[in-house]
Amino acid sequence: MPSRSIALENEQDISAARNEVRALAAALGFRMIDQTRLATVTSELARNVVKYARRGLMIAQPTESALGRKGLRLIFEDKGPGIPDISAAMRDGFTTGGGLGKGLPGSKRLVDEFVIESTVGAGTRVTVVRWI
Amino acid sequence: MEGSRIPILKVGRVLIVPIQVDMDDQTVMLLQERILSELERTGARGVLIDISLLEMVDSFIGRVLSDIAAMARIMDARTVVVGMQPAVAITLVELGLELRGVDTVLNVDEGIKLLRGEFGIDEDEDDAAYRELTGIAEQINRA
Amino acid sequence: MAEQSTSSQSERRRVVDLLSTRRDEILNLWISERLEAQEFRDELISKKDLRQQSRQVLDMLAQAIPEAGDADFDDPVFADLRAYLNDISHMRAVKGYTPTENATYILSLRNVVIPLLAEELGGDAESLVREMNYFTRLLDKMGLVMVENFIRSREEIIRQQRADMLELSTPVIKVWDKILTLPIIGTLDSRRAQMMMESLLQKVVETGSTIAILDITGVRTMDTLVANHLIKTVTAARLMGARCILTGVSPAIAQTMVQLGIDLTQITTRAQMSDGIKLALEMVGRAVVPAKALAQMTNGTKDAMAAANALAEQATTIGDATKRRESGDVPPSRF
Repeated sequence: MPSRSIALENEQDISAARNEVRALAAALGFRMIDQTRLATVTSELARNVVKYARRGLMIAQPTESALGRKGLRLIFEDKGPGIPDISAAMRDGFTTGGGLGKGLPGSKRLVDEFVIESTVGAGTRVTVVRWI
Repeated sequence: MEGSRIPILKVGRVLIVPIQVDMDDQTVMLLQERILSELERTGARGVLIDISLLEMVDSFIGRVLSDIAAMARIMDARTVVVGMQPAVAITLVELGLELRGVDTVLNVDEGIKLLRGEFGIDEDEDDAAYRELTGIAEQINRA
Repeated sequence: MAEQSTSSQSERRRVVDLLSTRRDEILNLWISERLEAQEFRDELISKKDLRQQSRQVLDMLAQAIPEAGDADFDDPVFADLRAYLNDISHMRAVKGYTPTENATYILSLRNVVIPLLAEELGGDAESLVREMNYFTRLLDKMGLVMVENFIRSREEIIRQQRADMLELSTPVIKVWDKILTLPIIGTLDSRRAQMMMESLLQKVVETGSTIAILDITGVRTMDTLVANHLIKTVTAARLMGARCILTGVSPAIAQTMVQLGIDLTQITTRAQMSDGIKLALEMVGRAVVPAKALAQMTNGTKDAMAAANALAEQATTIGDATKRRESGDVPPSRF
């Protein structure tokens, strides 16, 4: 199955992205609960892109492990301001501080693999993978 | 998403909001405004939000639900969210969202019960006494 | 060049000729080889079925080879035969053949045909070698296909069995209107805990139960992952509007949970499952009361009192009958 790419430039794109991910996950054979996890993590990470970087991109890549296990990789990229303190962001849950933060620790719990790369002034890339 | 409007129904002194579609951010914010304005207009004392058809609740929707409950409370109305799907509940726990200030119940029956219990909405004093007696009799007969 | 391909074609037809004209002989040799093989178990397949299967394979081979030219087993012309071999190997996996029994099926055909080929092509060493190579390669491929499909079928069976076991080992039982109980028995691993959580929450919705009793009397050890699943279950249930009662927590597990930093004040616990059921009943507005006491309690309403007395009498009758039945006096069918 080929990769799909969705622009993230406004609020409607967040909806479009999570619907696309749910449909893709269903087609790949993910269980309902995992489809929901993937749709939710997409919503969270796509919203971060739109909110903090104003525009960016999501790439959805069906993938297969070395042992033949199927999975879905999602990459959220932007050329926004970047995150100055990643470790703080990874500690910043929904209950700490006043606002909701970026909700990164929560998103991490929804997936099997979670990688975040960010450079201040250059942009951010979050890559997540969920296996069937 | 402009076209699909989520209905807000009034039953007695309770507003019922059945959410049937995946909502984008704008629809969610609009819904919040509409609920509050309906509360003001009708003087309803309860809001019952039915999310049994909602397949995903993320942090944004979660926060709006909390906000609706908080604002409704200021307007002397109690908010109840009903019918959360198991997959949604599990995901919310994993996300670490608590839905602070939001009362959640299993289904519409439980929701009505809660609203009636708290504010005595739509319940006659005498009705209650009669029903209690009938209830005991029923129990005994059934046993 | 043309001559060579003509001669190779005519030689290949020799293999096919062999398969056609001496089919029964090959079939018999092949089958008797299988029957005599140490691995053969006649409770898995009847001789008749074995014969029929093997004849089918030979016929399909004889049909496909002429059309294949130089192509190997991956060619579409062998698709039907490939499908048939897949069916055979799947059936063998289901029936419980060993991998050896499955793999040697095709190998033994090769062992039967090669000597016959040598017989037919006698003096012509070049043709013989060419034919042997072709046939050997073809049958090796066929053997591999059977092995692969056998393994795939086996894994599917194991996966299904595991799912069935998981399903059976986490029953969710309705003990009363709106009250479910989930008795957890045996070693709880992360996967089982996950299944249990989903199963319980699904049942909560389906039955409209507002209370779930999780009984872990039968759980001996618990690690972090499992404890977290348990907490997740309780929290998710609460989010949905159902309350959980945890019963049967042993001192050892209580200690584990505390050490893992789990806030036990957030969860309602009871030592015995029966206490949990009593609490659950109270939470849904029911009370467990002796029938006679109920009669006394409702002496305000005449009808209610009469009904309560009738109940008390019925209870006594049932109680007496049960005692008599247990001591062997009254046949059970009475009640």
